[in-house]
Amino acid sequence: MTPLERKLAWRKVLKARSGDQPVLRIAVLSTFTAQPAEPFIGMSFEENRLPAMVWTGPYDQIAGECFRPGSETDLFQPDVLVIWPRIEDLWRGLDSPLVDPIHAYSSPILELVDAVVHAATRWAATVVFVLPVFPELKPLGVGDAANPLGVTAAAEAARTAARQSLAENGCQVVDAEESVRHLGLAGSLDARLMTTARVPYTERFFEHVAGNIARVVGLSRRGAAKVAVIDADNTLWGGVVGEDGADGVDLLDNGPGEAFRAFQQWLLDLRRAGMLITLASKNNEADLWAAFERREMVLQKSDLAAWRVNWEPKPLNLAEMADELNLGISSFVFIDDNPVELGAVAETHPEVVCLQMPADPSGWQRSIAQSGALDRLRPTADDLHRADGYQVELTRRELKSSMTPEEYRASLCVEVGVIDPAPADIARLGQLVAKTNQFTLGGPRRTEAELAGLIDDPSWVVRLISAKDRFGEYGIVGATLSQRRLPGQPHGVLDTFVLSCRAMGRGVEEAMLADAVASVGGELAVTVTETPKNAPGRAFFSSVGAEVGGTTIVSGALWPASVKRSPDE
Amino acid sequence: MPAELPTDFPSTTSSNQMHTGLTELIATVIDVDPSVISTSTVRSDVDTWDSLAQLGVIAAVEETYGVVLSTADMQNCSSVAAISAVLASHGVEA
Repeated sequence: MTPLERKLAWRKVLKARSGDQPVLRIAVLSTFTAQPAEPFIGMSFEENRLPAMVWTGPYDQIAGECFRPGSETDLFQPDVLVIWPRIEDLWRGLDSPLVDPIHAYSSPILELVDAVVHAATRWAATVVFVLPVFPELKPLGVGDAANPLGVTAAAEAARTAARQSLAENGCQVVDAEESVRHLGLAGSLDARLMTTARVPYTERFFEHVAGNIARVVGLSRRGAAKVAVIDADNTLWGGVVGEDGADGVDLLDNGPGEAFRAFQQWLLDLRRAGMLITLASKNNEADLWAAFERREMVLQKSDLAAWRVNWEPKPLNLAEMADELNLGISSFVFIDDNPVELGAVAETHPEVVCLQMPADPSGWQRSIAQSGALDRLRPTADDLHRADGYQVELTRRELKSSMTPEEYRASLCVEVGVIDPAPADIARLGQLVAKTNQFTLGGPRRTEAELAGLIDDPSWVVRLISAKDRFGEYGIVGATLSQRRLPGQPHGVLDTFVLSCRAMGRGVEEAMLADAVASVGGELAVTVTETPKNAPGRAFFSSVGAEVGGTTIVSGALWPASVKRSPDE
Repeated sequence: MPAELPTDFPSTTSSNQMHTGLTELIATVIDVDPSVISTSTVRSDVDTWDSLAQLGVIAAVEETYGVVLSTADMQNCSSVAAISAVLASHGVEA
């Protein structure tokens, strides 16, 4: 689509809209004339299934709009706040960087970030900050590159400082410099429009940056893809393992094989960032795993969260893996070289993004990596451990299927740690109590403020429970709150008992109960209430005699023999 | 893609049709009925032909006729006839 066609398409979208359709309210605040970006931003959001209206704030008044109650932007109440400065405008009034300390050139952008964060919190808006383009004009010309106090150095420092501050404040970021790299300087900047109308950029540039803004907001609203399903033949390696043999498929240096290995390395990078890598291949399993044994393979079987290697239709295999991983198939991306397979998956599962490995594998970067389908935002701590967690779960499941439940529990070598929480643990304790639904007593939930009081109260015993097994750490998975025996009372009272579902059924719950009973002197009153979701908790307490609808005194709960107790922390 | 634009636009050859092409292009960009724009229309005649719409007109003229206007050209494009003249100075009859 040409820029003109896009603008007309946007006009059509607006005319076709009914008045009561809910749309995202996007405000654009910039230091230049940004109105020409409106149709491109609007169309990009439309294409990302985020119908939006776009409004541009008054020219070069970002901070004022953010701070002043009753400003036009305040009245507009944006859902998404796009902030788009030019470095040259932020540096107005300063000498061009040459010999002065460089940090002075970071202050204006950092002040701007502060103003924006302040306002966005008030408006509950998502901030998308466009990191500005490096200034084109440098007094030293080519010599600026060697000047650590020069224009490029100062701009680089300002951009880096802004990026850091934006990340700390949970803002989304789009880098306009990426669009310059894509289009080139001549295709991005328009000095004629700048002098006639204070429009610094070309329509192509607005279009490109707008596309990235919409992609980032899409990711922040819907989340990234979770699972990549990869075909093997002519996707992970060159050739067909069933015909060419494990030793015959191409994984060699200095040719297509090297491109396949680079693709495998990229999959590992995605895995590190939180994506699950799975395999769907029509092959005999023995042939396929023989190829995985090849020394040149970068991706290993142990990197896969799931696989289907058989002759069943791929749409079925994808659906099965979605069940196995307990993830919606809409978070899947499918990569295959064969248009027939891609077509079959697209037809059965239209919500799956299907990408084709190009016939010349060296093109994978342009067609697959740049599709945006596998883009992710900055990883959280959970993201960084996700793939390994699934991997370990897979190993546990394999083990479970090969032995009796008792043998399985013994073989896990579960170890449970009992922690008396410190004030720093309140957040985790509060989160466990607030978010656990399945393994609970079903009674009222203690608030974080109550919990903070109880950990200092000598008449209460508050425990956090950590666990691990021979495959890895579970982390802090459970908590108990017990009231000690009051004078004249024969028993203590179990107030709260929560356990994360990922640790259920491995002896951790028995260990927690044994600890709670012992901590109050051997007898504990347990009251179980039914909630729609706490069947696992009810089943466990029923097994120790505490049924719903009454209070049961539990005594003599034993620490399970299969569970080791970690040294107290 | 845009249904609003005639498909043969603006590759027609007779001067008259070219005029039609330019006026229709301007009408499309500033979102008015093509009958509103004639070869004698000046910017101030049409409410929607504001400075922002003018940026769109210039971009559309450059994109459609494959020309790159100078800053002075842009300043001069204040009527259909003026745009025609600017295009003529770039060797495009419109």
